[in-house]
Amino acid sequence: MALRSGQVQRLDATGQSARTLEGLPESYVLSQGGYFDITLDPKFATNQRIYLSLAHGTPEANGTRIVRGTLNGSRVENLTPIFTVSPLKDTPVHYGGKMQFLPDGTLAMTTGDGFEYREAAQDTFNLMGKVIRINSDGSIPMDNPFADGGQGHPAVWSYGHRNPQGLVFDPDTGELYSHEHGAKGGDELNRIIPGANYGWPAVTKGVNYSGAYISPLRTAPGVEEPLIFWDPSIGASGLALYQGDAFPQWQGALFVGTLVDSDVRKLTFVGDSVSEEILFTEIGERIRDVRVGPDGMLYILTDSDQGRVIRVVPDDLSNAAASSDQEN
Amino acid sequence: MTRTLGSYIAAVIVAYCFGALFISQGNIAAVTGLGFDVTMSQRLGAIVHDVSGMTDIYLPLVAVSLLLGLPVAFAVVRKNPHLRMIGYVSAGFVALLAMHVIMKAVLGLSGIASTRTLWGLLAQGVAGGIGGYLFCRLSGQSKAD
Repeated sequence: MALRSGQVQRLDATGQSARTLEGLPESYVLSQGGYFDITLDPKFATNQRIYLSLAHGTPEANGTRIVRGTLNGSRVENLTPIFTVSPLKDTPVHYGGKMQFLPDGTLAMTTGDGFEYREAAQDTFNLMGKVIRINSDGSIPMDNPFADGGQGHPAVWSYGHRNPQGLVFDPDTGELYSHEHGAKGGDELNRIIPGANYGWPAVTKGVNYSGAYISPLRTAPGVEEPLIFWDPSIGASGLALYQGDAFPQWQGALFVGTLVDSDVRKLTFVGDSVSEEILFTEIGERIRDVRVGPDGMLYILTDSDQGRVIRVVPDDLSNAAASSDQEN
Repeated sequence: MTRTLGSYIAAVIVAYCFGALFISQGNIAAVTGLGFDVTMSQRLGAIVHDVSGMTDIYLPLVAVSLLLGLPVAFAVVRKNPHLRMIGYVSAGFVALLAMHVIMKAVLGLSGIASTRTLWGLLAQGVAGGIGGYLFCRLSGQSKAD
């Protein structure tokens, strides 16, 4: 778990004990800065490698960075920065920072537009407002859409994003999904296609916080349409694909946490459309992240001064646990 | 007093309309600058949308800015009547300009996207100046009468 203070903690499997990871670099902690995401190497069982994304730099020059290290208990060793978004910016917001390993061992990460630099999202040579794809050592794969550098930065995988806060790969379909915050309205879920343009800020379903159009264009040729968008914004946060055994009825569904509405959205693909179900409103807290554990349970991270990790279990397990508690 | 109040309200409304218009066109300029086509119909639609849609936040900001700026001009103009026009126009210009600069300083971000550019920021000053000009003309009629 990444905390607002800039620390990262390792929670044990029982949820009872959390230890602060040692050895991590100091992140730039202000506003939306800090640590963003943590992911394990696909070969973690043998190499113990972890990857963390964080805000790096100073108020005048900061950006999203990926560091790689080896986890040894509660200590991260052999830390190496493997990628830093360029150019650096002077705003403490809109970092993106969600990571996802792809089946070929490459690592994708979302980056934000920095708020003040929205037009950068359309600049394929600028790494803000993108999904980028790198090798696990930080080098750039030769099959990226702009790998030759002639039409864009070689690391760019897709562009035209605002502040993507979710990224997940579906191994069954081979699809990569991302969602991103719109401004006022215009949160959207996208299917990420290499080299594709997702429109921001020239094409968007949202408007400025002032009420003015960001752009009068809601669609445009050559711009990918979202699979679903939310207006008003839900503050989409965290994205998980359910492929566990504990909830057979959830198989293949996407789960999205919401910061604004304080619930979790279950998204199911029905042909070309997406059906949406609102869950867990009883939590009543801003939802920062949603993950599926290796045990098939759904884990929900809340965002507050007393944030919680909530483990969602099927009714039969929950009842069994309750019975066990009573017997004890 | 009634004339002054009416002049102030008219100044706020006109400054708001011009300010919203400049914001609208500034945003569209940013879009076309990215290589996207915006038709005349979309441009006009955006003006209508933005002028009618910015009343929640931008209109109160304009109202407060002029409420603070115009009395300052009045204090100067009262002792220097020959500076009446330039005084109110300048007050309106500075009031709206300052509003955006202060907002950026407080929030750390530009509350109005078009003010990220110098021209967009100056355009807001022009909108305030137009408001100040109108206030000068309307509030001054009582003396002429």
